[in-house]
Amino acid sequence: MKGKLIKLLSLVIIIPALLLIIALELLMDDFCQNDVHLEVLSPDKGHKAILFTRSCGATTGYSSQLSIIKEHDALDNEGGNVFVMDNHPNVNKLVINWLSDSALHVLSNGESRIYKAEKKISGITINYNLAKEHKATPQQEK
Amino acid sequence: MSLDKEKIIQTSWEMHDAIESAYLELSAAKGDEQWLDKQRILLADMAIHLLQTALKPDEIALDKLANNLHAILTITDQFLPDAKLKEATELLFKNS
Repeated sequence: MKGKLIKLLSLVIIIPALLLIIALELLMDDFCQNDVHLEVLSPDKGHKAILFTRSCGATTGYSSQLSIIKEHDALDNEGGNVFVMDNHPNVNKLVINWLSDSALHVLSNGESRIYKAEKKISGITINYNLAKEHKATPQQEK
Repeated sequence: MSLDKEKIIQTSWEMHDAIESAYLELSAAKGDEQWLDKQRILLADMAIHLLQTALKPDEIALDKLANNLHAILTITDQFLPDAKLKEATELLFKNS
């Protein structure tokens, strides 16, 4: 009897709840929009560093995002895989330079909150020079 | 001798802006004649960041120092390919 009740609860509550969460996730992605601010090819032209803004509606504001992807790949409608910071790249005075085929330098004199600052991705080391320190708080990818 | 660290750092940002502009003006790609000139400008840019880290009041920020040295060694590796600088850069972040 107890087992049947648990199964019934699973069907009636847990599965719909999971479906709702998935649907909301998909819906949120649709609300968000990426706009490329700057694209810089690595010296060997194997990768590109893309600095973009991401906005998820009027109430959320802009965030600066940085992704490194292969040269022939397109930017997905997702947050940056390398660096995420509040506010527009111009506000953050963000500058990105390739130091070599496998090292990228990120400079920011902005004081905005930093959510993500990966040190290495796809064999590429990311070298930071930030006015604002990135604290290892739980990541909140906007 | 007193050193006006704040003033030097402030001046260094002016130098940085000039160097950054010069870097952005050069459109040379790897393999082009002007590529190494462009890398020299980038090296100067990173050297300024090292100066800023060194002179910043209070205790020296070791993570920033490691970052600055990583950038400088990475660029210098192109000029001194036999100095094994790339190996040194890997050791910089070994314990972080």
